[in-house]
Amino acid sequence: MKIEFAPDFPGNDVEMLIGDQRFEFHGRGTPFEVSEEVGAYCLRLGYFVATPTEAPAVAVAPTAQEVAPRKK
Amino acid sequence: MPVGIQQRSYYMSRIPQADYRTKKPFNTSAPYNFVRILVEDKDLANYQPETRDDKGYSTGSYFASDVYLFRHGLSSTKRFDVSSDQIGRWLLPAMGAVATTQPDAGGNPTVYKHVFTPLDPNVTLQPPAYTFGEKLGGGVDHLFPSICVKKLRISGEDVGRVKGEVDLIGSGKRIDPSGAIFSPTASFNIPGFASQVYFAGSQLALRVADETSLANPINYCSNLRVNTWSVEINRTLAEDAGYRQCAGDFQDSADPDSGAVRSELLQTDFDVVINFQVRVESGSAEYTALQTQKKLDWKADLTGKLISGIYNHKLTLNSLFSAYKAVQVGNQDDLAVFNIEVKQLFNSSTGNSFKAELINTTASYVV
Repeated sequence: MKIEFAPDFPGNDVEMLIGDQRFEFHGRGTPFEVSEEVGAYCLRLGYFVATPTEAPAVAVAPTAQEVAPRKK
Repeated sequence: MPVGIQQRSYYMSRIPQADYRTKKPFNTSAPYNFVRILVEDKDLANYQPETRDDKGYSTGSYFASDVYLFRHGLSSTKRFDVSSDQIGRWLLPAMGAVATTQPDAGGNPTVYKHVFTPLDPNVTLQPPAYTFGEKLGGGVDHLFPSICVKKLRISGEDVGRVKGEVDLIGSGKRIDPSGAIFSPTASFNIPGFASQVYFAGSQLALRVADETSLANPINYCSNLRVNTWSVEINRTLAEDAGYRQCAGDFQDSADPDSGAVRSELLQTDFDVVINFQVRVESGSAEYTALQTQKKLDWKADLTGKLISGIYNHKLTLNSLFSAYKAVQVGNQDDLAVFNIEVKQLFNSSTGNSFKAELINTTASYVV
């Protein structure tokens, strides 16, 4: 399914960990392609809304490997 | 030379392992992969090697003639004072999921908000795992990879610091020596204690209201009615089923006779139990809420020091959909009290159950 940041979400980034699966969402107005299960979880957070189906989406799969830490 | 228990040092990985089976490696530059943790209790981890033998086999004796290492287990309990940074490092493995945002990246760039929610079994059954270590002088120097949280209890007993307690379950793997080098030793990989902002009972706000609408709020702090409170996050783990055939996970990876360690530790059940004690007031509505099984929203806010702007260090424990399981009248300090137990429910319409929100200056509990 496709999701995007809710209009009233104040930021541009969400970093998420569900158990052993990590996700990062960056960029307002960008639709993200996620699984139905992860999408449902994201919608419950209140930070996202479902995207209309015709919009192209950026695939967001669980991060398989660790990435460099973000600088504060 | 005897080793004093006061020499004990504990540390854990700053963020979860990449997966259950891969321990977090040490590194020698910031951001360090490990943080030192301050705990109150004096118990070390309970490492449990299990053996099997051939007693009762055709040995020609009542005694066993052979014994072998079957598998290894590890458990530990740690008690600590609840601080704004470190509690996130326990809430994540206890709850299972976190989403981190910056509520005002432009105006207050050091403020981060972390929302911890129960592990969604539709996504995964494997809770986050951490690498944990303990050192006691020259006598004990162990690294325990793949630690999961079985229970986290957060409680306020008085106006002092809020207390926390975690029950940990490891894979059984024990690495000795650990390889940990504590600051200020040269080339250290465990930095000194980070400064912490602690939460105290005097900073509490506790209220109960109708679920979703938040109508009919009862603010238990307005008349200073709160005596004690606790939130206990309990997870059932498939501990025996974590030892997997075919996995080839041994205590000594080069020795297949060294006994098995866990290859996974899956969650099979999860619950949150809230208890609180408040003074009885005339017209108290608690019995009615119990008798009608009214659906409630229970929330405890702990508001600490200012960070910047309108943002303080803050921990919110919020049962979004619950009901009273028990309301019992008691006596505390010769004043009548209600001892109330809250049963956690799941709202199938909204998907709401329990969540913890943490506002602090920690940029991430994930990377």
